[in-house]
Amino acid sequence: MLSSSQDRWLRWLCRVYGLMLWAYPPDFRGDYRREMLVAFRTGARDVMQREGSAALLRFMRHVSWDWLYTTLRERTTMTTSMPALRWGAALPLAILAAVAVMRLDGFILGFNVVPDHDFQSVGTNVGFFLMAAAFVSVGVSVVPGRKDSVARIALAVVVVLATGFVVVGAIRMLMTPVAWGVCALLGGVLAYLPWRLHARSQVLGN
Amino acid sequence: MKRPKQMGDRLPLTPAVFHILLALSDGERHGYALMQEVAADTGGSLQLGPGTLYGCLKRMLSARLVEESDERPDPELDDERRRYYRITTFGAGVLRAEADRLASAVSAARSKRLFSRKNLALAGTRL
Repeated sequence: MLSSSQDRWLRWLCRVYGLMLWAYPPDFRGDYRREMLVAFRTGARDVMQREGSAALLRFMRHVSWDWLYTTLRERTTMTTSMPALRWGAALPLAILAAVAVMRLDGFILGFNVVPDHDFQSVGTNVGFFLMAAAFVSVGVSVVPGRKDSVARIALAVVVVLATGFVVVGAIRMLMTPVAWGVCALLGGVLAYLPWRLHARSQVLGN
Repeated sequence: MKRPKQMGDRLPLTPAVFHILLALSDGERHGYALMQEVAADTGGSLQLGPGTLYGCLKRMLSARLVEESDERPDPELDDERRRYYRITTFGAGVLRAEADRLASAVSAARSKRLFSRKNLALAGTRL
């Protein structure tokens, strides 16, 4: 049983630890804040009962190091992986959107910033690359939760369409659709890979 | 068709994850009980703080090594904010695979006579 002064100490420490928990990323805090507070309070109370108030200093030093290390780790995980990849994945989409707006603008105003397609040009192939990358990126950037599954579906669609281009090109002995298909396939795979690697790195980072 | 998860993909486990799985292998536990059991199992050399414990649990839940349990041993006595965790069948398989891997490492160390006399008995070797 704790004395009233020990109880006051305990409540004060719990308030301090509750404030420290605000340093964790919002998602992590939302999931575990209450449990972490319960674990902290129980641990501090056990230490007080077993070893007296002086042992709290050692307990707080341990908890503070744990807090410092894990807030940095969770923050680093949040800022270096997800948002960076999200921005990276969104970039092809932004380029595609800009091209679409410029072409639409041309149709409305009669002035095309982007010239009409030269189907043999490198630009068209790059366009297919970007479109496939954008398609996969939309899958992983916009749809929340289970991003890897969504990315796989998007990749599957890109693979089917790209294979279609390649097959049609091969049957009609035309290089252009084959080039489109290959570029689309490359774009889809390159947009998907970072998400796949990210999903693997998330497995057990501790 | 979804590729089944390979146990080998999860190895090697970190000491924290290995000891959490070990603590859960004989029954479900809440967070603080896990912290206590890991400290006891390792003779106090591995003391998990709340941040390390819940960081590990978060990753272990997403890797489906553990799952949350709805059951409470005694709802009257227990804090309702506590969540209980239990090991999954997949988690138990990964734990066994990691234990085998560690046993092989111990065996290799034993063959090179790296153990002190005190630890030879613990490693199960006759002098």
